[in-house]
Amino acid sequence: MSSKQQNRRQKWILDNTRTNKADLASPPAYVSSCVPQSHEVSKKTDINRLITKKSWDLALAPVKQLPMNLFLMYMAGNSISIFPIMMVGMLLLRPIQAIWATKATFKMIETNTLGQMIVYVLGHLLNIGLALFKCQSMGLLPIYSSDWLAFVEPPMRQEYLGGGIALH
Amino acid sequence: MGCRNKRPPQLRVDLSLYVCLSHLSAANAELPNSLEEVNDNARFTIEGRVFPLSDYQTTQSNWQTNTRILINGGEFRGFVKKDGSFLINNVPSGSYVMEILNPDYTFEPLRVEINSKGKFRARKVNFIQSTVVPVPYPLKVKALTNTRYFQVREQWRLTDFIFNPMVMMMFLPLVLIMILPKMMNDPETKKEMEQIQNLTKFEMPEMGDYVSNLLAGTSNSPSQDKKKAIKNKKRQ
Amino acid sequence: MANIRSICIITINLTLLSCLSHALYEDQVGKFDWKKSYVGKVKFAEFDARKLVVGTEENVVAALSSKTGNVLWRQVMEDPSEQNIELLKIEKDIITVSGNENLWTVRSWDVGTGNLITEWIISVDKVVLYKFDVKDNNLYVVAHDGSMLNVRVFDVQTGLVKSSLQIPFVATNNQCILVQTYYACLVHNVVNYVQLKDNSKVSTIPLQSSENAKISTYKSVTPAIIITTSSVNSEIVFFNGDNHQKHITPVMPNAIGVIDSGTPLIFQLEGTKNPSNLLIKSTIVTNGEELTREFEYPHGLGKPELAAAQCIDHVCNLLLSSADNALLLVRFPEAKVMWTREEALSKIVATEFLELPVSELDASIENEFKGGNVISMFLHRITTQCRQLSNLVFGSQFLANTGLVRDDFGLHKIIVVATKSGKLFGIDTLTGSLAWTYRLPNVKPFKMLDSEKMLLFVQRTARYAPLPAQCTLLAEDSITGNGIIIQFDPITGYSEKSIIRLNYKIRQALLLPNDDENHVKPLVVYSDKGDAFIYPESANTAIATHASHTYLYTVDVNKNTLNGHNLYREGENIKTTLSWTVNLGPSKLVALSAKSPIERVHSQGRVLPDRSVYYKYVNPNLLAVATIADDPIHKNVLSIYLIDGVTGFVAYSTSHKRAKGPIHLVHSENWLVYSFFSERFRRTEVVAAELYEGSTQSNSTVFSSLAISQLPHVETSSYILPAFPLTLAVSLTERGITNKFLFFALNNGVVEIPWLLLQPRFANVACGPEESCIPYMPEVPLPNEAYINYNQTLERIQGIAVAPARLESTSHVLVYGLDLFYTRVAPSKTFDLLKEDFDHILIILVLVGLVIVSFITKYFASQKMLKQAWK
Repeated sequence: MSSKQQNRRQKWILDNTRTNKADLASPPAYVSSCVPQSHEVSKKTDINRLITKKSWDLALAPVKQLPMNLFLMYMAGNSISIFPIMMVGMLLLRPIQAIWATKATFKMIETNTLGQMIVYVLGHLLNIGLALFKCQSMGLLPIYSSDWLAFVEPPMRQEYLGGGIALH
Repeated sequence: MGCRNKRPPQLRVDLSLYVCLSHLSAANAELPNSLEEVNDNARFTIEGRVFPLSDYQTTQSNWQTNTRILINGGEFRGFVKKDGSFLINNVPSGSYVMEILNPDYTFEPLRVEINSKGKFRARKVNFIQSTVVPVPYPLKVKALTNTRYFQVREQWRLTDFIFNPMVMMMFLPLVLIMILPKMMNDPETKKEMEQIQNLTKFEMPEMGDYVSNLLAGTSNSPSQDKKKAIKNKKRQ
Repeated sequence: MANIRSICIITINLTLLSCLSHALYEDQVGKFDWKKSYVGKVKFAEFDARKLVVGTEENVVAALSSKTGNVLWRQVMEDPSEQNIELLKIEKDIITVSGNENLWTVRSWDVGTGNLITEWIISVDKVVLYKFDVKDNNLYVVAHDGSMLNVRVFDVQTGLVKSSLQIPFVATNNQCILVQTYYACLVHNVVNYVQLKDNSKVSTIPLQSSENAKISTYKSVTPAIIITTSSVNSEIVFFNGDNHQKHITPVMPNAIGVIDSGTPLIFQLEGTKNPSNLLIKSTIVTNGEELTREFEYPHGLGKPELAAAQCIDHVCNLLLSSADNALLLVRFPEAKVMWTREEALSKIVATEFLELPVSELDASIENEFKGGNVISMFLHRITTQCRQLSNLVFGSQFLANTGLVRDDFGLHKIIVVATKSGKLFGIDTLTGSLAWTYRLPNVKPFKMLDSEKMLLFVQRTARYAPLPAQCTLLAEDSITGNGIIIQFDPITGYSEKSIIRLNYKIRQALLLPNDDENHVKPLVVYSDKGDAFIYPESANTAIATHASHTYLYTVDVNKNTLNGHNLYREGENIKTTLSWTVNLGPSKLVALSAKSPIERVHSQGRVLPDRSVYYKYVNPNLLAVATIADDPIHKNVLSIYLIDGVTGFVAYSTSHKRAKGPIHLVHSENWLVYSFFSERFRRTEVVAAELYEGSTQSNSTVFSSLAISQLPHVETSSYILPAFPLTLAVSLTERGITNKFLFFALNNGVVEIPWLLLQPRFANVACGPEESCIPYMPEVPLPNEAYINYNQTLERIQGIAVAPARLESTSHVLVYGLDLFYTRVAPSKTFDLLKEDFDHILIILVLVGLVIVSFITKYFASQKMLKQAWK
């Protein structure tokens, strides 16, 4: 699919460089040596470049979301109500889903994208970290002993006591 | 009862074997004062009158029977007569808290102090501060309010219904589905929307470019123009 | 500025409070609460038109409807332990004389409304025997000092002395009565009497046999006495001027006189051959004509006595008062019991809430796995489930027929109540009706500090389906003072073994925590000689292993010591050894409180704002003791001790100077609340003390009093209670998750106060709405909404019994005293139950609406798709 596209694209490229440049004298003050060389190479690299750029765009998307998420979380506040909880939940769930789907995301990029993938996952991990931090500041993370207090079983009593006021 | 100002304190006087008693009653206003003598065993009578809300205009037909007067939580008890007056007999000197209890009216408690000479002083009860708000004696106690024991149930209101999350959940999607597409079909609104979109569109530097440039194009970095061209192409 | 701040604080507090106190809605009145009014054991009774006016041993004057027996009005006079009603007569108004040996209050009341008309007092110095009677608006007060009658005649309305006389009258004054204007004394073998007027002479009535003779008033309009010579034989003597006249035929000792349209009648009660029937005999005084009627006397009421009678147009109402304080109204010619009032319930000495057994159907499911092969079990299951289904369809009727059946939430329970007169009652919590009664003859309660109590233990609950529940009551024999023990089924009131009279006095008793093979918790009774007995005896071996962990404490009020005993097993017997003694010195023990043995503490600590845990010191063996000592400088000193009942270790003690009783203690979880009257500030103060172990828990798996190594940290704070508490109790829930409520019984009812309001605040911890903490307020607010009895007056509250329901949020509360009031409280609101105003219809409508709308939109969407495809 992509190669086909390339062909088509080549067909439509208006290439000025193909003209015979030796026939013509260079315009005044034109130094041919200063003209950038090897367009063939650049064409190839351009496509590669595009692919890498695209892949990096993809890889950096989560990092780019980060400031926005920070702002959102700041706006949500630390009070526990339905909307902040929903936002935090989304913030936590989306990166996890995205990490699961990393392979699928990078499938259309055919080149080796290991680095991008790592950056992508790291970016999502950063988002998760942000969500966890938010949870923590909202007091949703059970990280204190008091959070487990309700599950502490009362101690068994060893002795049994009865009695009262002496009636006689 | 309120018209009588001062009464000799009720004393225990030895007459003979029986004795007795300056018994106090509504009909018996005059008693010999000469027998007055001060001793520790002197007993006094606290008197006063209770008024329900708006003086006799009470819905409760028999409020007198349901009203009790307790001194120090039941050490002495008084009952209310038909006209609202009451007597508490046989009280030694001291300081007492008088409560007037009625299931339908709230009365303010009063502190009544009787010195050993039989002088009465009444004031409002204040357990925290020592400020004295004197109350005239003989006591005239008016009900503060009708006592409310119950919570009021919330009434059904249309606004409550509309802002009910469940109702919102039902209607908001409806609004979004039915009305928004209609708005989109209208060409003018479409234009407006576009304008708004244009306003908010900025030329943001693309981070992906920088990173890809940084990593890939170290040797021969292409000019910005070309890149733009490629980009435009890509857009098209 | 400061004002504004204080207003802000007040409003914040009020809003917090409004969240904390959970008032009823007006439409909830009577939905799950009920109240029964009592008047006490009848001492005087008189009919007046359609009313029955009674004066009781509770020092109460009340009017009952003679039609239904309901209380029309009731006036509660002074405390019966100090003053007693001596006379009740209806002239134009009701005249009562009540008081103690040298001070009486004469009051007259309006018959119709119960309003006070006049009140005046008689006070005397010389303490001799006084007799009172009213005749023609004159109050006769007779003092008899052996040789002389000092008579004073007062005007009933004004209290003025009309005349006073002295009449020489020599008699030992132990058997004397005043009947209207006649004073009669039984002297050896004659009855001397005198009319109370100037220059009257003493007359004599000779008696045939003087053995065990008694004289009593003959209740009638004409002055007359009854001279009783034996239990079935007595004579009526009518006085007329200076003469007397005997009634022609002998009568029963409890004869009563009535005038029926001008004809004087004598009513008597006689036994019949049939033990369940009684005979009423009416005799016309003038000609001796007799009319008898037999009627069925309700079972289990004890020996009846005629208390009052009234005749209107040959229809007579007879009021019978039975030995166990019940009141019956019998209509005479029909010989029909019109109503019965169980006045014994005005003196409750023991209460227990019991769960009901499961219905037969559920029990049959439980039996399913008991035997048979797979097919029979399958068939059994199918049949029971079919029956269950049919019950679901025709359900409620079946339940109503079977009556006392357990419900899902444990809201339906039975209250077993023991009363001072020795009568046991089973009361249904849903309706307040009496499920059963059981009368124990010659039984009296134990004296405990300033109250009277019986010991009621639940040995087996109704959970063990084929086996019935079992309760045991310990009381005292009223004749010998020895202990009595009775086991009964609390659901039916049936006792298999009947009453067992022990040959020793009971000092204390305790119920062991472990069941024996019949699921019965053995009861250990500790005698005054220091021996321990176990009931049932068969449990002796079963508890052998547990005995060494069981401790018994006794509090000797006379010697002011606390003693701890260790139980151990020696051969076939249970023995005790004294393991510790705490001497409280010269101070007087006034209150004692132990924790409820069924209480569970859910949360083991308190969460601090930094989200660390401060662990509670939850010692189930802790006893709270209050003593008052006389001190020359500080008047009375109140001391509070928390003593471990196993080791005698004093965990905490404090004292308050110039404090006065009544002291009320309540002890729960890791805290103690007590109230006292501060003479210094002349106000009631409430102190809350909370015990903490610290930020680490020494042993989180087991608690042993013997392993205590350090004193607990104690946080305290005190408050002003703007009222005079009568008793104090705390709510109890199944698992202890729900917040606690404190119940303060006041003179106008019972107030629920959240424990959070009294809980000591930590000094270094911020307190505000954000921390869901109520800032400290010195005065405990008592909002009207917090009265659990709302506008129903509860008089002379003696105690509050609390029991958990199966629903965690709810606990049962029974307030007893002169009135009986039952309700349910939910300290944290009914969080585990849908609100009763929950809109089932709305939610169904919304759901149905959503489904319909989704189908409609689906249809439209497909239509649209089709259209677009064609374009």
